[in-house]
Amino acid sequence: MKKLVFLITGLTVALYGTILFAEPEAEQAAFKSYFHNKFPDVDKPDFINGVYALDSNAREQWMEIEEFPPYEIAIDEGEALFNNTRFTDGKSYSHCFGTGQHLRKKYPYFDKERTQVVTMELAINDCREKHGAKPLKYKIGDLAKISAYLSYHSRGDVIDVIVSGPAAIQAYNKGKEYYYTKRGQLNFACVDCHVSSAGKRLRTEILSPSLGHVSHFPVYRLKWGSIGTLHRRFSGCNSQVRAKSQPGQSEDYRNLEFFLSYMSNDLEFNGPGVRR
Amino acid sequence: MTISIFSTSKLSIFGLCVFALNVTANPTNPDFNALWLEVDSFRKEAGIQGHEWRDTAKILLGARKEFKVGNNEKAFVLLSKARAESIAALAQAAREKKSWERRVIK
Ligand code: HEC
Repeated sequence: MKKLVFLITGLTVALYGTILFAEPEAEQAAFKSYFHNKFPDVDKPDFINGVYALDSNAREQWMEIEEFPPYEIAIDEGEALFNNTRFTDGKSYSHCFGTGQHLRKKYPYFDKERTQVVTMELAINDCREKHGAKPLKYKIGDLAKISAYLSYHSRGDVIDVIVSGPAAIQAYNKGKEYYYTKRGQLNFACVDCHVSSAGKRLRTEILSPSLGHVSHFPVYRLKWGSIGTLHRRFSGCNSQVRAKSQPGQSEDYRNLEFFLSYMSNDLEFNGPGVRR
Repeated sequence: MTISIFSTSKLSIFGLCVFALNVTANPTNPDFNALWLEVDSFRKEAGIQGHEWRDTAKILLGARKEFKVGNNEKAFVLLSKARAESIAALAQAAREKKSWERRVIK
């Protein structure tokens, strides 16, 4: 009898597990094939290049900019910050991140102990605070530069976000809800601009597809005249629709990054990038 | 504070009437501060639900500034604008709770 109860419990848990996991996986497949079908001429790996995968004129201009990329200074400055910073306890970033090579692909991940999504930017400030240093600003400045340096040394690595276990699935679902929810006075959701309208023109800009959106951050934007993190971009897109934006690394933005990164699994990291 | 959509809309209609009465009955001395606080609480509630609009807080601050310097009419125009935004944001939050899922790419 005991054995039977055991078996049934085991089977139920296993079944529950597959149902829970099945959804993100199926949603990822549907998300990708939507874009693959919408843009059959775009090579699948090319989605990491955003709007430049869709528009040949824009691509040409971008390739020219890439010859002397404006994010190069940020990489150098980030390298110096990463290697030369000494915390008051005598430790450095390498105590948290080793050499800093191939680090980007570890993030974002769901930390089961903290029951929250940890992004690379969050981990940088966690490291600082662990060693008695003040946290850096999340959207701009030194943190974005360190992120640029680390991303640069992860180029070519593959996005491989794992969504496993009920708590991680909950974070994924929250990110998904954020993505699909209309906000702001203009009543737009991310999906309205970056899925159904991807490839269309909005004023002077062509809308990029969400597939591959996370691959190339941080980004040097010519409009900003500086390098900024993914969450800076999120808040820009919130403001555009006249919704109140959130602070960098808010729980919503981390869940959103988790969801979006999972949607882009198997694509390559190619940060930092440059955009108009 | 959590307000359900039903009570929110009832509250807002009630509030709007009181608001209109106050403004028309005694345009120089309606209870600006009480109304301001009420609108601000709607704004905050929209924020808790993740639906605050970009400019509502700014408009509310503007309303208070105008009231302080005696521009009552302008102050009430701004206050009613902030009120309309907050209520629309709350309605959006309620609507989206039901409709976001329909947009998921399947
Ligand atoms: C009103 C339309 C609109 C909405 C809604 C919108 N965006 Fe954007 N977004 C833009 C425009 C325009 C750009 C700049 C052109 C481009 O790359 O798409 C952009 C750029 C981006 C980029 C940078 C793309 C790149 O290649 O570097 C990301 C990431 C992004 N948006 C994410 C989001 C997210 C997440 C949401 C929802 C919170 C969102 N956007 C909502 C219009 C929008």
